Amino acid sequence: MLDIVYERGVGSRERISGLVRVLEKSCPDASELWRSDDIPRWEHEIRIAAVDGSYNRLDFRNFVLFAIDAESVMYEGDGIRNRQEAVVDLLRPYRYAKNRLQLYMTLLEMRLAYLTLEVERPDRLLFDGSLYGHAIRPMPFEREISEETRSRVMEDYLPELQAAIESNRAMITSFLFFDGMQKDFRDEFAEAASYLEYLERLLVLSMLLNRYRNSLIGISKTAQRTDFFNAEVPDMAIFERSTKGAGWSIPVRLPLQREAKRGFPILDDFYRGLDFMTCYARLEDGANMLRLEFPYAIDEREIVRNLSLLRETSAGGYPYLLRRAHRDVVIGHQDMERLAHLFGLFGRTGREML
Amino acid sequence: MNAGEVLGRCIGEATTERVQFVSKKMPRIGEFVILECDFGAVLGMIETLARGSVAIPEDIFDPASVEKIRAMEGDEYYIQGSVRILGEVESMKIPRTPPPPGTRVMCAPPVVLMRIFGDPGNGIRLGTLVTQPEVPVYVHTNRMVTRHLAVLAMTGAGKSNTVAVIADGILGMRGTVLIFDMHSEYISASFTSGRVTPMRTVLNPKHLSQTELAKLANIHGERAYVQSRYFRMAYTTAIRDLQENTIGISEFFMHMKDLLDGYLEEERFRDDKTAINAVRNKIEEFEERYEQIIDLTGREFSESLVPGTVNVIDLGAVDEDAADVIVSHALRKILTGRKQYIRKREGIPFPLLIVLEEAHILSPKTRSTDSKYWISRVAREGRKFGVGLCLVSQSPKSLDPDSLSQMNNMIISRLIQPEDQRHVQSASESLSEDLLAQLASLNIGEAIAIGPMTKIPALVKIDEFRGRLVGGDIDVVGEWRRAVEGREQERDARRREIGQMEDY
Repeated sequence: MLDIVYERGVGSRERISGLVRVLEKSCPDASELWRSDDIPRWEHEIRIAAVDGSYNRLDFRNFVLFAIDAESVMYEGDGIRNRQEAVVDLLRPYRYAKNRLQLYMTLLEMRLAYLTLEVERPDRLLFDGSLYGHAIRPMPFEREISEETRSRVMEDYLPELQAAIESNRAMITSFLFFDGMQKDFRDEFAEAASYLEYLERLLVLSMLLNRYRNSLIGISKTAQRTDFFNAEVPDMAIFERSTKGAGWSIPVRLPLQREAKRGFPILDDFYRGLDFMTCYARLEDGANMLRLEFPYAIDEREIVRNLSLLRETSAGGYPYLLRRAHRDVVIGHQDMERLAHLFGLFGRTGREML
Repeated sequence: MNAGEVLGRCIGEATTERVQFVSKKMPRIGEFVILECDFGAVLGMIETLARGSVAIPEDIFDPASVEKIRAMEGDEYYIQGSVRILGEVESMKIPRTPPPPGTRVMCAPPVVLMRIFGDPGNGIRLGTLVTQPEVPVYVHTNRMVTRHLAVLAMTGAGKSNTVAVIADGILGMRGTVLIFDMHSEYISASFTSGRVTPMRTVLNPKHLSQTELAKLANIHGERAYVQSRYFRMAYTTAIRDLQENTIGISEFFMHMKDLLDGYLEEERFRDDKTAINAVRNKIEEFEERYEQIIDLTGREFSESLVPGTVNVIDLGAVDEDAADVIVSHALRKILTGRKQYIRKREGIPFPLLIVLEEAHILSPKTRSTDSKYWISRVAREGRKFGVGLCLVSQSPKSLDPDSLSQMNNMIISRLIQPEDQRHVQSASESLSEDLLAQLASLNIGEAIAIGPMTKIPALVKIDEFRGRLVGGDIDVVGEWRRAVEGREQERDARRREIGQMEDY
C-alpha cells in the first residue's frame, strides 16, 4: 500500500466515523418483526440434503481454463452419502467469463439437486444462496444480444436443448450445441451461446421448482436484499444489529412480479406464477444471521418447523451439510495449476512479472 | 495390525529416505512396514502419525457442534504419517530410487523382522519390538562393546534394568563386565547367567600417580603450585624409598609427613613454611577422609578383575573427587593392561565392557575431570583393544558432547527435556528428528535402540531383568509406617517391662 492511502484515511477519519454513526443511528428497529421464542427440537426422522458448488479459472493470454464442481450431501440418520459432478474445459468465448462460470456452476448445482431429490428423496434440500436470484438474474450480454439472434436461438436450438435436458445428455447441455452455433453465428457466437445458456438455466430451474419446490430452502450467510425495511442497509445487517439470541423473523413475500417486469423469454407464466418468501433466522445464540428463502408460500408455523430441522442438523449455527458440501467443493488456485499441468498448459498468463 | 495387511498408500513426494502415507487403519509409531515398490520390497518404520477428521477442523469452538457433526459423520477420520525407509528387505541397503506414489504400505510380516532382529547368534537379547511383541530383539555384542554404548533416560525410566539385562546377556556369553556402581545398586545384585565380583573400593597409593594422589589430597597444581611442588618432592622421595625398601608401605604417609617436617627445618625453604605446613595438613586430612578406601596393602586394581563375571566397584560411599580418581585410575590401568596384553601377552587377557553410571558427573560438559580425559581415550582407542564403554546418564545435556558422540550405539528411553533430546540428537547421526520426537512419549521400559549393534533402529520393550537389583525408589509411606510401628512396639515393650517391675 502506498503511504498516501493511509494519509488519505487519516484525513477522512472524522468524516467516515461520523458517517458510520449516522448509518448506525438510522438503522430501523427490527424487534417487532422478530420472534425470540425457542426453536423447538426436531422430534421426527431426519432426511435432509444440501448442495453447493464452486468454480475457479486460470486465465491464459488467449483462453481461460475453468473447472466447476458441485456436491450434494444427503443425511438420513445413518450417515452421510454424497454425489459429485464436475466440468473442466476451456471457456468459449472469452468474454463475460465470471458471469458465465457462475451460471455453469448454478446449472451444475441445480442438476445435482434435481438428481438427489429424485434418487434420495430428502424431505428438505438446502441450496447455498438464492434460487430467487437465479430466476430473476439477467443473462450476460443482456443488452448486446440482438432480437434476431434471440429468435434464431429460440427457433433453431431451444427444442433440441429442451430434449437434451430431458434426456439428461449432459450436466451442462448448451455445450453440446456450441460447435454448430459457432458456424451458424460466427461473430455473434458469444452472444448466442450465452443466450442459450440462459435459456438452459430457466429450463433447469423450472424443472426443479416444478417438481420439488416444497422441498427446497435457499440459505445465505450474506445477503444484500432490502425486502423488509427498504433501507440503505441490507435487511440482514438490521436484523443482526437489533436482535440478540436465537430466533426468526416473520416471512415476507419477494416481489417477483416487480423485479421481473420485463418478463421471461420462455416459461413466463410459470415464473410469474411463483411465490418466493424469505425470512431471517439465528439458529443458536451467538451465531450469525441466516437468510432463508422458500420458493413457495409459507406460514410462520411451517417456518418454525423448518428451523427445528435446520437447528437439529446445524453446527455452530450453520447447517452442517452445507458446510460439508462447501468444504468439499472448493477449487483452489493450486488445484487449477495442477489441472493446467495435467493438460501441459505452461503458457504465459501475463501476470508472471508481478 | 496383522502381518501383510495393507495399511495405506504412499502420497506426495517421496525420497529414498522418507515417504508420507495415508491410511484408514491405525498403525503404531515404531511399527515396521513393507513398501511394495516396483523395484522390490522396502522395509520402513513409521516415525510420525497424525489422526484427524476433515469434518472436525480446529476452528470449531463449541463442543456441541462437534457432537452434532459426529452424530452425522460418524467416527470418520484419516491417518497420515511418515515412514523412514530403512532399506530393501533382501539386502537392507538403502534403495537407489524412491517408492512410487501410491505404493502400498503393509505391515511387515514377523518372518522379515525375525530375520533382522531375532537372530540370537553372537547377540544379547534386549527385549521385544514394542509394536510386534512376538519379535525378539537381539543386539550384536561385538559391535556393542567395540563401538561403545550410551544408555540414556530420565530417572525411573529403566536405565538400571537395561544395564542389568545387558550385563546378564554378557554373562550368558561368558563375557566380563565392570560396573562403577554409583548408587550401590549392583554390588548385591544377583544375575541369572553368572555372578557378581564385588571389588573393594580401595586405593593403594603405591599404584596411584602423583597427580592422582595430589588431587585426592586436594592439592591442585594450577591453583597451589607452591604446595604442589613440595607435595611432589615429598611424594617422589617417598616412592623412591618405598621402591628401595628403605620404608615399608605402611610407613608411606608418615614418611611423606617426616620429609615435609624436614623441609620446614631447612633454611632454603624458609619462605615457604606456610605452604609446606598446608601440604602436611592436607595429607593428614586426606588420611582421615579416605581412611576407609586407602589400603596400603591393596592389590593393583586390574589384578582383581575376574573374567566371566560382573565386577562391581561400589562408589556409593565416596565423594565425587574420589570417584573421579578411582574411575580415571581404573580406566587408565585397564586400557594400559589391555594394550600390554595385545602387544606382549601381559596385562589384562580378556576384553570387557565398562559401565559408567552417572556419566555426566564423571564426564561433565562444563568442567574438566580426569575421568573425562580417560573416558575419551578409551572411547577412541578401546575399540582396538577390546575395551568397551557404556555411559549411563539421566542428564545427557550435562554430559560431555565429545564423550557422548563417541558412543556409536545408544539405547534411549524416555527423555522429556528438549535440551536433553537435542544434545542426544547432535551426538547421534542415526537419530532422526521424528525419532527424537518420540522420546518424550516412550513408556517406562521402552527404548529406542540405534547404532551398529542393531541392523536398523528399533523401538524396543526392554526385557524385565530376571535377577535381583538393589535400589529403585524407596516405599516412603511404608518406611514411615514401619518406623512409627517400631517406636510404638518399643514403647509398649517398655511399658510392659515397667508394669512387670511394679508387679514385682
